[in-house]
Amino acid sequence: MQPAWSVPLLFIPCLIFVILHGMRQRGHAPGRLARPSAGSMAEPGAWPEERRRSSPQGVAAAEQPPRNAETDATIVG
Amino acid sequence: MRRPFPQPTPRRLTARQIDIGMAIALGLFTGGLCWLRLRYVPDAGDFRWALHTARSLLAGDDPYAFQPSPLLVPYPLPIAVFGFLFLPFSLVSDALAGSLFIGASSGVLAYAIARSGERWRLLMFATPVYVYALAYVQWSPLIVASWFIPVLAPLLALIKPHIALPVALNRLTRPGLLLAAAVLAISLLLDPTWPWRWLGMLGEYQRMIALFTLPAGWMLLIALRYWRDERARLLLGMAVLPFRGSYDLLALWLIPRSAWEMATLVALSWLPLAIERQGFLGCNPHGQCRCCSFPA
Repeated sequence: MQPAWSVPLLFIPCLIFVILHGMRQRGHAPGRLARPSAGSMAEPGAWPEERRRSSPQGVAAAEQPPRNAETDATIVG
Repeated sequence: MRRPFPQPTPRRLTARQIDIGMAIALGLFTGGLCWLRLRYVPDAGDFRWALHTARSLLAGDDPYAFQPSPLLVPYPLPIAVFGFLFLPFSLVSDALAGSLFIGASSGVLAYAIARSGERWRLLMFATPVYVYALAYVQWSPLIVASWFIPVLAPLLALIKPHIALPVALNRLTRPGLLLAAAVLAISLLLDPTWPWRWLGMLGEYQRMIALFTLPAGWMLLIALRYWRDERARLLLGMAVLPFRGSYDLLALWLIPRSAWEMATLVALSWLPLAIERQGFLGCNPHGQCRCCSFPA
């Protein structure tokens, strides 16, 4: 007779992933800060590139001329 | 003096074309696998309900005129939408219609994942949960695809509420709600009594609820603390709603946020199978059912 609980065992690692992500978001966990995944930033229905285009920051970034590394460099001395 | 013949520049495929090609290839492969599997079980798995409902409506029969049993639990009437879509293929055989449904669902899911920029999520196709969903022509691949294609989510919540609702509640859009409302209105025009009769036939549904089935399952409520996170809400929704077998849990593979987490969950999904093969099928923890006759 198989144990019924063997099927939903997969919920446990998922819960751990959710908790780890929540801790990273709050800055409690050591290591790098959480990088929001494409899905987590999702406006429902939008592909990532469309999302970038539709957001004000994305439009601003797209309209900016390419930065010149030489002119941008801080002159020291 | 001979002028050098201009060399044609090789035409590069765009990322979208590559994604479409990959999705078609995966759809054909999984549809073919399903076709081979359905040679052993000559029906369309769970998709047979879509075909049955559509045929009954066309013939003017009542799709709910049968005695429910643990193996005969009907779906809501809106399932007929998909039945009508694939009915022409069922003229050849129900198995062909079912295989095409799984191939199409898998292809759409693969394309949606690829376009989301998280290609590592394609690893979900390498889980036993997906294999069982394919073998029994389940709705879970399409439900997972609706996470990325929200217009489908409310409609699928009408068709398989207990599995699609956690996804749909995170993906409510106006077009999706309008589509579902239109389908619901048409179904009520066809038969205003179907919701009550369908609900009355669910007593035989074999189910488990993770919150109560897991030892210390109440710990899943910890996810409530992170309720602002859409994936925490997805986990909570799946934990409190009933499901029948492991094939209903494919949406859990939406929760990992990195390739490492994904790989870990994929590896862990094979573990219960290695420990106890029959247990992982989990379609009926208290007796025999057709799921346990999966050919080795």
